[in-house]
Amino acid sequence: MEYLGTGYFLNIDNRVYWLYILSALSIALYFIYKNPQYSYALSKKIWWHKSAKNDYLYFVMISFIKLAIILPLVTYLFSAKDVSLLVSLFLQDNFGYMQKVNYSREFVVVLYTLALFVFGDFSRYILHRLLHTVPLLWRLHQVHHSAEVLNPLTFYRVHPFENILFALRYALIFGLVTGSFIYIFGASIGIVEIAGANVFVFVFGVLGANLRHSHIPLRYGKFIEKIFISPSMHQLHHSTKYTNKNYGGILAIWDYMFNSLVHAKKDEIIEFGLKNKKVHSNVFNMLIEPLRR
Amino acid sequence: MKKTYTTTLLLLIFLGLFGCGGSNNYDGKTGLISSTSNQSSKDISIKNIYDNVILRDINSSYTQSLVLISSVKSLNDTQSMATLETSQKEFKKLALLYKRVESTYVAGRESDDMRDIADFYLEQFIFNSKGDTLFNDLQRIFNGTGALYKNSHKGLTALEYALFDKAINNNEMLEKMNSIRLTSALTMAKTISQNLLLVKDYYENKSTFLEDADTAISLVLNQLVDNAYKLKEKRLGDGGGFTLKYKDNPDVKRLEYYKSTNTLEAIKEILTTHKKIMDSGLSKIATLGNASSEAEAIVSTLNEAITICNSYSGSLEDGLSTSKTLELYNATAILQANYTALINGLNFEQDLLEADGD
Repeated sequence: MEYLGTGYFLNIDNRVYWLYILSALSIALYFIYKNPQYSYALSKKIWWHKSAKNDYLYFVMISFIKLAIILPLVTYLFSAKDVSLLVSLFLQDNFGYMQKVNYSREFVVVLYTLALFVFGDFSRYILHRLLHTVPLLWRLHQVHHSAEVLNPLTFYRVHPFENILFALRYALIFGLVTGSFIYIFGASIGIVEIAGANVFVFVFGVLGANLRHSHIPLRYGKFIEKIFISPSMHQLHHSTKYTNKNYGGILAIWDYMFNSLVHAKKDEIIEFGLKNKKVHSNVFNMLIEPLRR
Repeated sequence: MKKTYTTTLLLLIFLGLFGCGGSNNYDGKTGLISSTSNQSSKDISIKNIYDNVILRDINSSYTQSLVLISSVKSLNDTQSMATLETSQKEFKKLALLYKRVESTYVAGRESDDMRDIADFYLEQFIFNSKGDTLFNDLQRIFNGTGALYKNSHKGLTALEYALFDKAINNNEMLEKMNSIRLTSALTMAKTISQNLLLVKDYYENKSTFLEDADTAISLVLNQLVDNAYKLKEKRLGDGGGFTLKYKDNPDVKRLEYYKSTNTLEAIKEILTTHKKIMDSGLSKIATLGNASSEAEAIVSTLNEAITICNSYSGSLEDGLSTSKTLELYNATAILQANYTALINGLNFEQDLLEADGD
């Protein structure tokens, strides 16, 4: 069952962990209660749309591919653990050994968690922007943008080659940050956790991360949206009009700094997906099409 | 409609609160599992390390310090060859037992108040290259032209200077044992014992080591990797002429116990203590954290280094220029890297795949 993606709903580190889904659903219900015109977001038209059905099928298939092929391949080629060890030993060889001073463990854990979050989010922004601006990569990323309706599983509608790129990004950034921290602080590092999950993953999840891929245009207000990407901002990114805006994961500051930030205009009707709707019409095409053109 | 929404929301909030609580780790195979069994195994391993290594060694060291005081007292009383030899023998025993305490000295990492106590200014000769200055100061004290200053009576190495001189035989040494030297030796032995008592009291009554296994593991690992670094760089590298500072310029005077020719035994004691820590629980903890291969590499390097120590026919002071010293130095360099690998490995308990975009 694990190979079919069930684990994603039971692992607190994953976007679609059941608690995060419940939380998103609660927020969505409240949002619709206050804004009844968005009640279509829960309708069959959205959830049983052909694109949504493709998402569900693709999720099962890509879960298998990730566990059976991508995880062993990436771990073998370039794991975060290997990068981290190489970085610590490199720093030690080139800058000398740093004796492990007694910093407060709490301080180190908070600093490490923050560093992972900031560097991780920034690297996501860079890779995401490259996926849009480099034609070869855009071919892969179109699979994700071909979704005509959005639901939490659209998050996993990603071409396996793009998965590999994101996995390598993770290994590189996690390895660089962890290796540097081990060089300086030794074994004192750790992650600030809530219920066993990274605090940022948990808070982001509980605050409705799954609404990013939904038809609930939840906004945080203009000021907060200069710091954090709201679900509405990510939905704009999925629109045909603003595809090359709002690349950010959690933080909007990268979009703000690099001039790719856009806010939704009030009651603006947005169309999701690609201009050419026929290209990724089924799961098989999603896998093959990017390699064929 | 309003009622339906309210009921649904309440139900979702209840489920949410349920989801936040307790252990909900998922191992990918057995559904929701508790991490309690792993935590309990870690706690047991940490307790084993504490009871079987840290507490046991501080107690043995303190007991030995009392024996040393008694023998130095006898030396003061009789000034005979037998009492000098006994004092020297008891000193060597204490120095080796103290190496055990020093190797695992987590008290200094737990509490700032305890940080300097266990140093006994023992290593400042090596670490700060103050050896000659302090030895000169000590000689002035023994000649009656200087006084014991703040730190000069605290160190094991200072006591070693009072009791040993590699350059002369014990008959000549006995002749150099004037009353100031003898009294100073007794003061030093008492100070060392008092400091060991402070450490013992800390471990027995004040330490928070057993309160949190994860913090304890990080303290032990940081202590071991620092200790391995000092072993390689200071105890072997500087003396053997392998460090940048003393490249190709070996000098026995830079060895930790060159006056009592006890350095090799001290190094072996450090390595043996590291092995005891591994055997008492750290290897088990590594296995729980999916880092068993890193732990095995450490144990294998420790065994190799101990074998090299055993292969010396005499002291390190006599065999410093042999190829074995370089071999031992290289083994300790690998040991230090292996500890870094273990720290790294324990930070990556499982292969994670974060491969999704947005």
